[in-house]
Amino acid sequence: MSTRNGVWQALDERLKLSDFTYPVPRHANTVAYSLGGISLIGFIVLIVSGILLAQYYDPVPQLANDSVRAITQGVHFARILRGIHYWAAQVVMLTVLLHMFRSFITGSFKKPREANWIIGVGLLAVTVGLFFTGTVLKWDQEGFEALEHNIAIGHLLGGLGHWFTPAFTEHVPLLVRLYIAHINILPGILLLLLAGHFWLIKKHGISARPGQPVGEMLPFTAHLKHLGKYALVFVGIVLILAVLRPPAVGPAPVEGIEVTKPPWPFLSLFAVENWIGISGLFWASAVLFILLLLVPFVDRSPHAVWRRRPVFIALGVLLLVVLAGLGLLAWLTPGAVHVGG
Amino acid sequence: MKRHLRWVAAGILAAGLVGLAAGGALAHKGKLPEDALTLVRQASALLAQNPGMTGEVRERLQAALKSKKPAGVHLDQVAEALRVLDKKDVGTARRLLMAAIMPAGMPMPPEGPRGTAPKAAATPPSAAPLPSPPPAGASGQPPVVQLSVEVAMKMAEPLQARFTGSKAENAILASGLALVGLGLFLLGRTRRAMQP
Repeated sequence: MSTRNGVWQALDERLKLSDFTYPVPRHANTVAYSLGGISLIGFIVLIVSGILLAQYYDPVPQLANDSVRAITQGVHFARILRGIHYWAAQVVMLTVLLHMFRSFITGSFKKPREANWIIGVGLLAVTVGLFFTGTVLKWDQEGFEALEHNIAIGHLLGGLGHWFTPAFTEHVPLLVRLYIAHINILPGILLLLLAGHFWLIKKHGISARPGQPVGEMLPFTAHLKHLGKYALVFVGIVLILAVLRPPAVGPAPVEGIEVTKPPWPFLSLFAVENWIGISGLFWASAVLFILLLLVPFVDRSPHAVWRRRPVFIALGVLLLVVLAGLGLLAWLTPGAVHVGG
Repeated sequence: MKRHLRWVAAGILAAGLVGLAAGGALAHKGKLPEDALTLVRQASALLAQNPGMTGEVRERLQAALKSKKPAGVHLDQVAEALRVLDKKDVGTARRLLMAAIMPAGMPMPPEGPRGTAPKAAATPPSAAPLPSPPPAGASGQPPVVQLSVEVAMKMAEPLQARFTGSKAENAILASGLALVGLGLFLLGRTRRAMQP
C-alpha cells in the first residue's frame, strides 16, 4: 500500500470522506449544471474577502464613507480586496439568476424537487439582500439613497417593517444594523439555506437533462474537482477586473436629495418606482417573488422538456423580457425623486 | 384540472405584469428643507452628482435665498451662483456654492484644472457641521478650520481608483490571467476526454 493510499485510508476511517464519492450524472459538469457550484465558489470568495475588508471598514455613519475611501486609496492592497469583493458580488448575482433560469427551463423544480426550488427562491432573496446591504455600506449618495428606500419601505410595511427604520432603536444607527445584517444575519441564513439546498440535492440527486437518459455516472469528488477548475477561472476573472476596473466610491452623502440610480439588479424595479412611487418598489418585488414561489405548484405536468411546457416557458421568457425592458428603460431615463426630496 | 391550473398561473402572471405597468401616479416629492445651509448643501451635492439637474438646483438656491434661517450661508455667493448657473457655468456655480457654506473669512477654494472648480462639499447627514470661524483676534486657530474645509472638499470628490501599472498590480493581473488560462485549459482537457 502506497503512502498516499495509507494517508487516505487513515483520513477516511476518521472523517468518512468516502461518503463524498456518491454518484452524480456526468452532465453535472457542464456549465449550465455547474452554475450553482460556481455561485458557491463566489460566496466563498465573498466571505473570505468580506472578512478581510471588515478589518478596515467602519460602519459608524460619520466614518463609513471615509473608511471606504481609505480602503480605496490608503490601505495597502485593500483597494484590490474591495475590487475582488465588488466583482465577485456582481458575478454571483449573475450566476444565481442564471442558475435559477436554467432550473426553470429544464424543469428541475418538478416533483420531487419542489421544496428545493422554494429554498432556491429563499437563497435568491438572501443574495439580493446581501447585494442591497453591500450597496448601502459604502455610504456614498447611492448607498444613502438605497437606505432611504429601505426606510420608506419599512414605514410602508408598518409594524412588520419596523426593523428597517431608525425608530427600531435610538442607540444603534440603522447603517450599523444593516452592516450586522450584511456580515452576520444574512450570511447565517444563507449558510442554513445552502445546507438545506445541498442536502436535498444529495437526497434527490442532480436533476436529469430533460428528455435524455441519465447516462454515465461519476463520483461526486470528480464533480468537486471539476468545480475547482471553474473556481480557477472565477478567481482569475475577478482578479483581472479588480485590478483593471476597481469600483468607485462617491462623495459622502447629502440628505434630502435623490439623484442616483440603483445598481443593475434593481434597475427594473426603479422603472416601476418611477411610475408608481415607493409602494411600486415593494409590490413589484413581492409579485416577482410570489410568482417564483408559485412555479412548482402551477407547472405540475411531469414533462421537463421545454417544448412540452410552451405556456410556462413563454410566460417565464416574457417576464424576463419585461424585466430586461424595464431595466433598459430605467437606464435610459433620468433619475427621479421617490423619497425625501 | 391541469389545464385550469395553467390558466390560473397565466392569469396571476398577467395580473402581475399589468399591475407593474398600471401605475400612473407620479412619484412622491417631499418638501424642501427650511434652512439655507441644508438647501445649499443639497444644491452643491446635486451639481456634483448630476450637473444636468439644474432645475432642482435652482429650486433649492431660490428657496435658500428666501429662507428665514440663513445662518451659516453667504447669500450673496448663492445669488451669484444662481446667476452663473443661468449661464450654464456649472463649474463656477459649484465653486461659489462651496464658498457660500464655508466659514466666514475662509479663502475661496482654488480653481481646478482648465478653470473647473472643485466639487461641492457634501456633508453626511449625521456628520458634525464645519467648525465655526475663529473669533476675531484669536491666533493659531485658522489652520484647524482650514484643515476641516480641506477634508470636506476632499470628501466631496468622487474617488475612482485606476490601474496604475505598479509592480504589485501587474503581478496580480498576471496571476489572474494565469488562473483563467489554467482553468480554461483544464476544463477544455476534461471536455475533450468526455467526448466519445
